[in-house]
Amino acid sequence: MRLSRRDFLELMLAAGAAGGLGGSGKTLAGSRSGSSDWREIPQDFYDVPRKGNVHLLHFCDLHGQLKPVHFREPSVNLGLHDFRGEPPLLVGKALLRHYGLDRFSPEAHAFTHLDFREAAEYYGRVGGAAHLATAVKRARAERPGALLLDSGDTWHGSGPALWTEGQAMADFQKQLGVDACTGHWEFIYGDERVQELVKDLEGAGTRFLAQNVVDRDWLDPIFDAYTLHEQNGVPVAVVGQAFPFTPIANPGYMFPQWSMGHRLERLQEQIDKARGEGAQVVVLLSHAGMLTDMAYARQLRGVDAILGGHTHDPVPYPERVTDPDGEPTLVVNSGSSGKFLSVLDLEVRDGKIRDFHYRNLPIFANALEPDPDMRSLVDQAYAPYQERLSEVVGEVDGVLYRRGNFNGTFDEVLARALIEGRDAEVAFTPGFRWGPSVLPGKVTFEDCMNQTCSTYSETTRQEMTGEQIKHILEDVANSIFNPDPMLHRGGDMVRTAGLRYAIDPTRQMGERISDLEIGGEPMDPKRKYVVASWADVNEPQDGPQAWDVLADYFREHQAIRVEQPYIPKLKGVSDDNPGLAV
Amino acid sequence: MSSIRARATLTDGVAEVRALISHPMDPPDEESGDPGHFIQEVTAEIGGETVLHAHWGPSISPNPLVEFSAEAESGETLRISYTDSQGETDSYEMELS
Amino acid sequence: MNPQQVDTQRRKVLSGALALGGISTAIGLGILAPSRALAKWQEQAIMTTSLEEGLSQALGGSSYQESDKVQLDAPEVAENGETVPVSVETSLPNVESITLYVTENNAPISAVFELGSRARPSISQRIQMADTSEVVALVKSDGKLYGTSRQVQVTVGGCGG
Repeated sequence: MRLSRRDFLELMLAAGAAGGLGGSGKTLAGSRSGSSDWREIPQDFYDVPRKGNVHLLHFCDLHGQLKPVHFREPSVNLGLHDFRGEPPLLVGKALLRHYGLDRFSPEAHAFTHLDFREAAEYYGRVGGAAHLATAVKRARAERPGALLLDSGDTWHGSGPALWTEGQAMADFQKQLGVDACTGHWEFIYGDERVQELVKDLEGAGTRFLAQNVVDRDWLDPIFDAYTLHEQNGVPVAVVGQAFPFTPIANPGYMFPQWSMGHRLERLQEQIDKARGEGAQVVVLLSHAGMLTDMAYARQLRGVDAILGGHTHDPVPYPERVTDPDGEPTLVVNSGSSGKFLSVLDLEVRDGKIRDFHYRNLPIFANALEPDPDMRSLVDQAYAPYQERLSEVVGEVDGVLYRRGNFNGTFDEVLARALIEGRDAEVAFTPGFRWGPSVLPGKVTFEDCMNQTCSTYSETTRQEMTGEQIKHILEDVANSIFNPDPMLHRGGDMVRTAGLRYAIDPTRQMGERISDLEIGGEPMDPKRKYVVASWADVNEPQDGPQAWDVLADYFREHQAIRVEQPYIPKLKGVSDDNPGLAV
Repeated sequence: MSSIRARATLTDGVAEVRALISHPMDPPDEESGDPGHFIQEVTAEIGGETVLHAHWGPSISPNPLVEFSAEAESGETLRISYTDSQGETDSYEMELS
Repeated sequence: MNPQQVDTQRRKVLSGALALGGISTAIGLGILAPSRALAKWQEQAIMTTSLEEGLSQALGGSSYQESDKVQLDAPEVAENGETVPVSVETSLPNVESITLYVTENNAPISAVFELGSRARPSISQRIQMADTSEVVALVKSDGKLYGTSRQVQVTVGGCGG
């Protein structure tokens, strides 16, 4: 495979040029006031000429967001050990520098947190099923037969997704014409419901692929592992890999008979089998997270591209990883919340990939006409719930966001809501990477749902010893900061209120957390503290739902000041880490 | 119905056996004095010959699963049996093919 | 993120080991069933909290030689500490037994498998783990003990995604 950066550089030059000319009039969206440094979206932004003969369209981690949203990319996404300064663990200007992106280009807004509020107001919302559908249709019109692949975390994350137990999202996938998908948060609806929706999808030609989900006793596969398609005479296999740690990260009791894990041996067998059946191109549709996908690429033979999700790390350009045979594997992640559509064109000749062309297209809602059919599907999905979701519960004077290794501003509000609403000394709220951002102004009940909704969002109030509290911090840190990406379970550091700590993420399990203070006093390992939390994965709970606790907090306080979120004292990480911008 | 279920595949003179036993494997509890209820011995025979004799402690998982392989011929009988800490026993037989 | 759940499980597995430091006390309490005709070594080895004592009784010794001819397969992170799948395989000759133990479990020895002459030296078993621990597989081959170990993490879970 000849993997030049040619097209990428061409694209960047084009984007720079268009921005540089400014006021040419040939633009799709952006403020016309001229007061902003941000450059307008060029008119040809979504013109992606077809190249090659195998075409893949990809998105991931939509998290139930059928309508356009804002989503602030992280300002803290640390790369440690071998991964310091390596994609996808780059933020802000370091990311722009790495990819040669212009500071005030539309891409700079899409891929970074820089001047988020101003840029978000300038470019408007991103994603939305109807806008994504238009982008998909345009890409497909250019490339008949292109495969549309979805890495999962589609069925969950919004009120309509939850209240229809995923049906609204399956309907969206069918309408969009998704060819294949895999899963993670899909499983929170329980084994029976997943099977129902998978059957529904397959009836419409959308395949649910997950080679690593097996019966825990007999190891029989639960889902199909791969499918074979032909594009322009080239047989293409798509192999599915669900999130390997779902039974740990989410309530395993919802699907007690299913075991997951990486299962790389079986994965290799499936790849070999697909090759044996004639596949000339093998694509792994993965929900393992980008760094883990890159670790897969180093271990698996015969994979041409990994189109992955889970860690919500959009990349402007694929990573090229060398497999054990010395062959390259392209690794891509298409961000989250409907914000991106990846277009990957492969040039295949004589059974080999000779070149590739890639764009990770940001979906700017103002620059894409909504697809009427998809818009009516979304309107129907929302109709029964619109009144409830539209309730204004309060307002804020700053941006609410979650994504980042440590507390986001929305987590601060949620954690305070837990302390107040559940009368606790300490609050824990999971470091989920989903949940759109909210610009200053009104906050609705929908915003509360988007931050908290799941099938196990009941809040908890319990006593924990200081030692147990520290153990939780250590346990989560040992996942996200583990030097071995095969052990990453995804998510960010657990968010906290009522406590302060120092963290050295470069150290080992049990040694990362220090200087733990609770209520302003040094933590007493034996003392019991009242801890409020939500989303217990071990057993069903019956406390008030997290969205109600959060919405009640807004209703009670009405106008909320948004302050800098709490970031623990960082040790062992230098200020110039390219994954750190604070 | 037996509390034991097994699957066996016979390839090139070797049987690979996977057996699942429905059993609580409830460990003893020191505090309450509850003696628990767990399997202590499992025996597998092929053609009347013992191929496996397992001694289990209470830290074997509930509904235990054991996998082993042994030389075997088509038509031979596989017999799996266990005895638990309350003296209860069960067995399962299948013909290998 | 509920440590109480983890604790319940941990206590069960730990107390399953009786934590009494000796088998005689356990029998005295009626916790074990001495009437059952198990060989003495089995009760003592499997139920004891002392790894060394247990291994000596079951295998005639507790020290082993590290060997790459013993392959131990276990997940790096357990999906569920209550059921951790573990497999042992060896290319060593004349294997009499395969033993599995978990150093951090209070009753460390999970199982001793005595193999008949027709058995292949390959065993899989699901075990309970109270906490993150080394899991050790011992193979008795030609009267000598060989072994290997792997760490398995038991996590509080949650927070994914």
